[in-house]
Amino acid sequence: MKLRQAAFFLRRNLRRRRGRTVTAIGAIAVAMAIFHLMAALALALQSEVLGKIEQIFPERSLIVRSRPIEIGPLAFSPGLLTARLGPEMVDRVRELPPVVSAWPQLALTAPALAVGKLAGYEGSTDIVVYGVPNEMVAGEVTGARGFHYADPATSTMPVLVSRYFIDVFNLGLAEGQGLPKLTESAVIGRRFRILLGASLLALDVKPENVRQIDCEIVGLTQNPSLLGVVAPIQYVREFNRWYHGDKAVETYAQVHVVLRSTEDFETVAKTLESWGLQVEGQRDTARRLRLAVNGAALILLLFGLAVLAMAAVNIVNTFALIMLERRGEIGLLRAVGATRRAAMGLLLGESVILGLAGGAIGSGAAWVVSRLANRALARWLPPFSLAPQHWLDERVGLFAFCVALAVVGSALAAAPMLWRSVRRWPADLLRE
Amino acid sequence: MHRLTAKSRAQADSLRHIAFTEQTSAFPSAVDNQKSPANSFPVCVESDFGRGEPRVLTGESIRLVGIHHAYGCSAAGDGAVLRGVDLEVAAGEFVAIHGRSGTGKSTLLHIVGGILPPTRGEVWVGSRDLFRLSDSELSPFRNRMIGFIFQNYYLAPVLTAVENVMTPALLGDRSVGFARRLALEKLDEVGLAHKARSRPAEMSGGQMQRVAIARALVNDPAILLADEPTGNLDEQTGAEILALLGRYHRERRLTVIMATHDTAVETHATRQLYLVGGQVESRASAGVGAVGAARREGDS
Repeated sequence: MKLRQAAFFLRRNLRRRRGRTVTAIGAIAVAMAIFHLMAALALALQSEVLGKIEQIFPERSLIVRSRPIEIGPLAFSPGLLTARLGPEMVDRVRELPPVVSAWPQLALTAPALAVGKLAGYEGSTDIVVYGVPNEMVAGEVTGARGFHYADPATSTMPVLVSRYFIDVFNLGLAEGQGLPKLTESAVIGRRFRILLGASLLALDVKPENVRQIDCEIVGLTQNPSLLGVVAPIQYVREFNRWYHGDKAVETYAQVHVVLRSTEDFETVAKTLESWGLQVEGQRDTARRLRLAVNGAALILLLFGLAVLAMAAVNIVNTFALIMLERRGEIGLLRAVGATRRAAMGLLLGESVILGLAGGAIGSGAAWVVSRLANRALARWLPPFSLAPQHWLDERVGLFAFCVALAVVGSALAAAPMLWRSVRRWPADLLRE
Repeated sequence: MHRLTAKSRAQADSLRHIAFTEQTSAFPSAVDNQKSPANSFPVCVESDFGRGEPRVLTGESIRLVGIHHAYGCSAAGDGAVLRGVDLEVAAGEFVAIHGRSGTGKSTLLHIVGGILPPTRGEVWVGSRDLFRLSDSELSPFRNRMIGFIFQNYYLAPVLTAVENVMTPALLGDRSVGFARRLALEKLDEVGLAHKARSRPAEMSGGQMQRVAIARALVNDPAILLADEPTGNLDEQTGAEILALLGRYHRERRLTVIMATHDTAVETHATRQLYLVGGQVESRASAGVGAVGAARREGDS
């Protein structure tokens, strides 16, 4: 039978059996909507949270520090008794074959006081300043100033600040004091001043030994090791020399090492430890977190599948009943000349259309709900750096998958009973 | 009584483009005692609904050889309803099959129509052994060559009268527009043009049976099988239906096999058969139909 002739029967059967058509489409739509929402939640959890875990706890990374000397509850890292983490050591680490990169993190050893305006209030606070190479934070620099060295006497110093400071401000100070919340775009490009050698806490500050540095925020970092203000390493090196003079020794607070693969972790860690260094990896933390997230996503997906399975049982029963009731009609169609294939195609076509309509309506509604929920949550929840961009996955692919699932499911639900009917002789079907 | 109008007859004739040539039975007869004078009935060649493909419509006798049928047990067992039926129906005959309820009249018609396989035996239409055809051959054969009228009408409840009549035409790949035109013509012929848009639930038994007749005839089949078409109707409506079928038989030279309890069919049938004990017994008819058949034989 040709498509146009088949469409003639399909249109009439679906339209004139409106009650049954609407019931079947409704049942499929509800099942697909629930499944879509569960899958959207699971996918968002996976893609958003796993991505953040990978960013915050990169598995191929490890942090290397000088091993402290522990005496009772006290720990010292004098550098004389243990390996000093200086430029030579960094070069040595870089030479290890599994090491892709090794970036030193140099701490400012002079007191530093940040002075500036925040949410309309003039304020000052002691800060920790680190220097890192440009390559280490290149992906997090968004400001036009860039993250390169220029003479601080004539130009501003580019700095990154930790995202978690913004979280602390927004979720704590701003909430408590009723201050306006900070956003990334509001922070980038903001300027403040660092008074080198000045401190509200230190006792040995010499006012004649204070230097003023103008800074511009060029990005936010979510590296948990960089809690503070992060500047290009050349500035910190220069400031340490300026403050300590000839006594300044370039010893790094830590070195960020990126390995070729996670498989190399044990070997490299053993080597570095044998050199008198302390190694801290984030592989296990990342694995545990990933396992938890995947487990949660799996539970959501299983719940969605359970709902779908329960709905499927009902849908299969409904379709079986419909096909059972229509055996006479199948018999008649066959008696007046429909081939098995044509009769099967006609009734299967109806099931496919029901699945298509139910899937499209249910999954489409769930997609709209996902979009609205994401927007509402983004507006309603306070901004924090670990918040996913989407709480529910909005990919059109999920919609297409759900519709395809509904179509295939409906066809499979109808097919067995339909096949049993069309295989029989028309007279047998008519007699029933 | 509804009568075919001159216009509708002309329309039907223009669609069929019937030409006649002489032809004898296409297979060697194994049941010569059943041979009727109409065996040498002319072949009708019809253009395939304007497609320019001539199609042999009639001239194909029906031959049943050793038909056994049993429901739920072997042909030889107690459940057998047909026990070795041998029958030959020549093209253009009107055969009435009488018999008490449960003697296998409907079963026999279903077997002739290719919608129920016999437990044993062969059904030949022309040179085709029906039950050796594949589904893709048998179904189109049923669609184009056989019109079926059922006692219970079997109209699709969700379709209107015209849509029910269109169904075989659409299954035969006619375009929707053409099938609708054909169906309206057939409904007009059976006097139900005014009910074209009514659904079965809105029609009387007689009207539903007329729709079923129109449906059976929409593809201009060569063979019409009617299973107690008056069984559910009152006497007067039954007579109207029989007259309608008789007229189709006479005017279109249809081969008609009718299972019936209705003795009024004698007026139209060329041959009366009785199904007794699972076998067919014949009796010559002296009715009008026999006269008509004899006249046609003379024409050819």
